[in-house]
Amino acid sequence: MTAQTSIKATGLTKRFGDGATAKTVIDHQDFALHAGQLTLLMGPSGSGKSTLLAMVSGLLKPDDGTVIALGEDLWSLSEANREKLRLASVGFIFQGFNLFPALSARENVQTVLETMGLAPREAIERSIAALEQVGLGDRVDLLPRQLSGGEKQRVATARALAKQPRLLFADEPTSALDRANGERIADLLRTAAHTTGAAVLCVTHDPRLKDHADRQLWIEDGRISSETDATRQDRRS
Amino acid sequence: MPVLGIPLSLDPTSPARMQSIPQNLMAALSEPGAVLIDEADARKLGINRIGDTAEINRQRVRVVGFTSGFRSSWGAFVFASQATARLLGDDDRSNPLYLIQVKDPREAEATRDRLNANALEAPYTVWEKHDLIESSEMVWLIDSGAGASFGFSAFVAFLVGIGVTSQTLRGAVLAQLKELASLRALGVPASKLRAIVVEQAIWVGLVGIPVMLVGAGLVQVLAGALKVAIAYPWPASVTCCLFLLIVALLSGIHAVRALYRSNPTELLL
Ligand SMILES: Nc1ncnc2c1ncn2[C@@H]1O[C@H](COP(=O)(O)OP(=O)(O)O)[C@@H](O)[C@H]1O
Ligand SMILES: [Mg+2]
Repeated sequence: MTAQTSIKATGLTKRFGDGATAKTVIDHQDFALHAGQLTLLMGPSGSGKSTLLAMVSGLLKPDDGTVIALGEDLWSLSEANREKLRLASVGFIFQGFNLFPALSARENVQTVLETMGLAPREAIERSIAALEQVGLGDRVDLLPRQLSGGEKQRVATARALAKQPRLLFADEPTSALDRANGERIADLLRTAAHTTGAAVLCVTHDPRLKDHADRQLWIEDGRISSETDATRQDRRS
Repeated sequence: MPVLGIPLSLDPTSPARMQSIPQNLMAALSEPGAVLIDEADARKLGINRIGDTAEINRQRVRVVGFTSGFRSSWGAFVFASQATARLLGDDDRSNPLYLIQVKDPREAEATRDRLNANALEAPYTVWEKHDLIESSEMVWLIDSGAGASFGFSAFVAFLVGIGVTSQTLRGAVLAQLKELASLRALGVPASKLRAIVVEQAIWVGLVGIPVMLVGAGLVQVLAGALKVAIAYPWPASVTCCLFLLIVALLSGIHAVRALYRSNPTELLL
């Protein structure tokens, strides 16, 4: 594969606790994420998926190893510069949709765009365009509580996509959704990767998503392995 | 029973007239033995209706009417003509209080100063009207125990108000910690997150103030029904409102710190 590498992590290590209760969750692992692809990282609950995602996205400092994201050594940057990089180039989608209950779908998207320095009118236009992209063009003025779970996650997806990020991270985005809605989100992520060239990482323990990805990784006991073993294991069982 | 007399005039043009007692009630006092008491003190004195009689220092008096707004925090005010008052035992003829009206009000201060300069031999003090009001208010609020305990309970109520406001806001921020954390993950800087919370705080404050005013209005109605005179001086009210807004802002800003102490991965992933 000749895809451009957006994130290259080497020797990543994370431990929690100290002394007798210390536990190495990720142990000297290498990891890469490519532009224009949806990469799916699957593994059982507690295998360290969220920890890995947080370290390569600039949310959680690794105990060891380096992360080069978009050419920057992520964990050598100052907190303020890391924040700037996230604001300019990174989108997130979480299992809990995390929408402000008092703001409409459009306003939830718009808040982030305005922070990026967009003029209010441009922020509104781009918010509506992003909501149309996820199929919510007729729902822009509704509050989160007026939306179904699948629709809320699509608003959160629009909030992440509206930034036109070069890196997009999704942590268990489909766990609270039924199959149809979950697959719809996965397809949105994949389409976004293909059309915008963003590098998309989706971590999940949901095996239903595996056919929707461009590339699959497996994580267990703190070790990341490439797709072939995992899928083969999966097919056999 | 000790009786402290304060001379007032029945003459409507006198400076010592009682402006808050209707003219017809004042006129009724000219009858010997006629008195007025306040409606708030009537039950305390065993008076049920106009025309009831009572005894003060073995002298029979007849209640010819009720005043309102003169509830006394110690004994009870009894309004009588000077002739009646003398019967009731105000034997001490040396009148301790004089009310003086100066023809030209602009001369009031100069007159006061001139009179006070002469007060070396006979000990007396001359006050201007608003000085007297202010100093007697101060005596009540600060020197008397009643004022101190009132002030203290007002202060306690104020602290409770601050506590309720700040905890409400803190709760509001903690309730949306995940939403704020996801904005933080998206790179929204702390200053903007604070601005979002402060904007909400201002809304809480702006909604809270009318609610407070309605509450104060209800208290006033209730106090009126219980015949307790109550006033909200506007400087104190405005200060309270401003203070609550400031408390709302500070507690909003303070609550955002909870976001930065927490681990974003625990909140989000
Ligand atoms: N802040 C933390 N403190 C202690 N242990 C943690 C912390 N975060 C995660 N862990 C532990 O690390 C392991 C991996 O967690 P996580 O990355 O959330 O797994 P996954 O997302 O795959 O379910 C789990 O055993 C979890 O208990
Ligand atoms: Mg997880």
